[in-house]
Amino acid sequence: MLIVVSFWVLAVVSVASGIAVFVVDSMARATYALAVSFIAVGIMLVMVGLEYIGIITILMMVMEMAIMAVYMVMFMGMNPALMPMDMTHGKRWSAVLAVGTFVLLAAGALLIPWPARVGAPAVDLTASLGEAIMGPKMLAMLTISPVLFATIIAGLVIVNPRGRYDRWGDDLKRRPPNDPMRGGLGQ
Amino acid sequence: MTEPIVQVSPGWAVLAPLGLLLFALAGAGLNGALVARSVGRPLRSGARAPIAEVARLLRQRRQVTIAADVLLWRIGAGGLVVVATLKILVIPLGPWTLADLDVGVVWFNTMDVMIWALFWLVGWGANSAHALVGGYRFLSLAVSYELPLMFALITPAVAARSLRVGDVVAAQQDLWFVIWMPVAFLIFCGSVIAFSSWGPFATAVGSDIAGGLLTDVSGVDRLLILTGRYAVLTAGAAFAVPLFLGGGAGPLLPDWLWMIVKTALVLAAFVAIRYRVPTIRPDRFAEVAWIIVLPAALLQVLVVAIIVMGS
Amino acid sequence: MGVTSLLARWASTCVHVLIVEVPGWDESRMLLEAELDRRGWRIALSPADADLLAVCGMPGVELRTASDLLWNQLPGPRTRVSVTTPVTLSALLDAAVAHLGDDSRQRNDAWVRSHPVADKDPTADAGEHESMVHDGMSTEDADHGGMEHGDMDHGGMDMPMPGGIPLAGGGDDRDGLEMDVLHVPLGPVLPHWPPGLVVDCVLQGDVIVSAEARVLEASSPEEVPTTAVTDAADKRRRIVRLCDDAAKLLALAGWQTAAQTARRLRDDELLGVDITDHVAALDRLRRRVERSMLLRWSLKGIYLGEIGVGARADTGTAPPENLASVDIRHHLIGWLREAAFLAGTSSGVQPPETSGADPAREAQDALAALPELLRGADLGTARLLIAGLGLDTAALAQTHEGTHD
Repeated sequence: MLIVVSFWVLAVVSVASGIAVFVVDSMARATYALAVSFIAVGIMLVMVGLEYIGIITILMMVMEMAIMAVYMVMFMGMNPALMPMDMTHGKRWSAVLAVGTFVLLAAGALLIPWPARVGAPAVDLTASLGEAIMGPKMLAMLTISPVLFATIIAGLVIVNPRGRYDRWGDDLKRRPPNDPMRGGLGQ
Repeated sequence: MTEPIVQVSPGWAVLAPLGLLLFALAGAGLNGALVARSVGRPLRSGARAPIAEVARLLRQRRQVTIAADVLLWRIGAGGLVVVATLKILVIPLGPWTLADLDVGVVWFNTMDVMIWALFWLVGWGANSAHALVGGYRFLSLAVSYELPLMFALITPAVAARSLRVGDVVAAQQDLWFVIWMPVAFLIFCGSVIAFSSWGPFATAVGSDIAGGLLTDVSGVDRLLILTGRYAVLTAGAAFAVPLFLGGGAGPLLPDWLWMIVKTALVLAAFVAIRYRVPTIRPDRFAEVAWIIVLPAALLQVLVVAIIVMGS
Repeated sequence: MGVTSLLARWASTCVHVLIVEVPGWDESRMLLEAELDRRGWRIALSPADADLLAVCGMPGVELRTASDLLWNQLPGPRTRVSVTTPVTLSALLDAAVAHLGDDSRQRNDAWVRSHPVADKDPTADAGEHESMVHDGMSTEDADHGGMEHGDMDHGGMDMPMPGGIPLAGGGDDRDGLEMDVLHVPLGPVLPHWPPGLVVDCVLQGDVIVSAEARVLEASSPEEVPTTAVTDAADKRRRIVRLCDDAAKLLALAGWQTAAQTARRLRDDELLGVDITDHVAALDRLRRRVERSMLLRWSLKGIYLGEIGVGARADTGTAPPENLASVDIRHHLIGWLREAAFLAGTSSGVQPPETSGADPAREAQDALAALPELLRGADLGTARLLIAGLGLDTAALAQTHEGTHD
């Protein structure tokens, strides 16, 4: 009973804060409304029995929202955080798409004849979920993560307008490098 | 010699914040005593300083600034103590724990990521230049220490083959983890000091930005933030014990008493280092963290994993 | 009520004091700091942290306006004192504590502040504050005083002004991003800051894009208490100044224990305590600062260029080309070395490095070089640079040449 009540409360909280992301005036509040929504979803995952995944969701999402605050100021300045700002474009079409997607997914969740449970849940839910999703391709999944990370770093390096020759001089020999802010190791 | 961890009824959870705050008060008392000694006053008057500070802040009125984001500001200020209390729920006091989570180590990590959000909200809410600079300084420091911290937390879990805090304690029966994972221990201690915005990592509240995060807070909010800092530092010190220092293991005394003694020792070490070291600047720290500390953490995990696979 | 008076009694054992120092009255400030240390009181970093506002000296018009603004920003319970002579210091502070504990007076004060009778409410008028001198922590001033408002909303809102303050305009910054342009005045009251200095910065993020420096004067520079112009007194003043500058720089670098040691040496020197082992103590401090790898790493690469180098740097015999490579840490070590040297010499022999240096001229040069020095530096580095300059604002105020662009 408690689980049912808390499930519905969390569901309402996550939808309401998701709506709040677009309704509130300030970017900072929008960011943290999104964080609240994700935290509610994470708690729901913990309730379903997927403790590890739920808690990791909360961890990652709060960290992302904090980083988003950095990007917010970097690219938008402080103004959108202080004044009422209308950030939506193409209102009619996006509303149609959003409502349509919601109806589709809700219909699927409610109308599909889900199979009845056979057997008992595995002892280690996280491990069995992992094996079900990734299965024999576990090694590939493990190597994808560092590859993704390296891609992000490579992208940033390529985008940086100041290259090696700007920093180290034409002969690549200048130490410490010519940076606007000096790094800790003189690299 | 350690008994298996049992989860006690949730009614005992009321004691958790009380115990935490008492410990935090003791830490603050030690800090006050050290300050008093440095100015040549008697130690006892310094140890009483936190109580005087609490009284002063309770009497002080709340500061309100123009166009402050009051909701976010208050959430940031009040959230620190809450987060610290949530953190200690998984820490076993002898054989008893309030929440025997299967993923206790990750729970601790999640709670200290909440601190990122809280400190930034405090810096943001005040609508003041210095406070905002403080908030962003904390974020830049946090980005640097977070990955090494995550790897330092995973290392004992790898050695214990489990994320449950009780299993980590049980796996240290023969040899405490601090002995064969010193790098992870050092990184963990440094990260605890960093996420409490303390000592060498106190750049977010530094005097060069007129107190940074604390510039425009007064009264109850200031009390909550300062208490929250001490509480988070205490929670981190307490977590170091089951993770690296063998939990309640030790001769003569019962488990729970050893836990308290070890926590007190770690907390005393943290408090003592506060004023003795120059502040580390986050823009310089970034290179060191990514080029030296993170590979060291990775190497440590590798060594531990090889040892564990071999045994 | 019992609890209230108990709280008041406990709170009175640790009062936080915000010190407003008028240029030329640094001895008053140092005596006040020594008295605060003796009582176990703390120095507040910002007005929100303070119960007591202590104005050391007789401020001029602008500085008085600034301290009134700060007085407004102190949350209650609050009290203020004016420290002009060292004789009555203890009695003044005792009276201040009594005032703080007087609950009925504080409640009255709080009620009066919440119900302003004047029609000019100081918290709402952004435009007026542009011309007022204020410290960088005040949010009642134009924190977001920009040139035009940001043109970023599509909602048709015209000139949004949250809290009555216009939004900041944007501009390209050092790293190629378009960041808001913020006009923030630093000073005249900040922790470990040259007294009376106001640096009007244009900030983008926390990087200073441009800066203008000026000094607020005392009410009448001739009233500054001058010590007897003897060699011994001169030497003592110099040692006190050097220790004070070193303490400020160390405190800004975050090294509290070393800063506290420098402050104690300063206080001992100021109070005329027996200084036979001062040379040894100063040398110990200097060696400690030299040995600290963390401080060397923190301060590496912050150069003052040619400003302030000739007189006091550690490399007194270096040829001019090497001046640019002298960083703040060398300045700090040079100060401590000079202080040790001065404490060791019994006669009024001037060390060769300071001969021929006119303090007013030096301060003038330093103030003139400040805008260029701060360009492109972030706030933390800028504070370290200003502390490393060891600006003598008293000398500036006395020559009445306070403003410089």
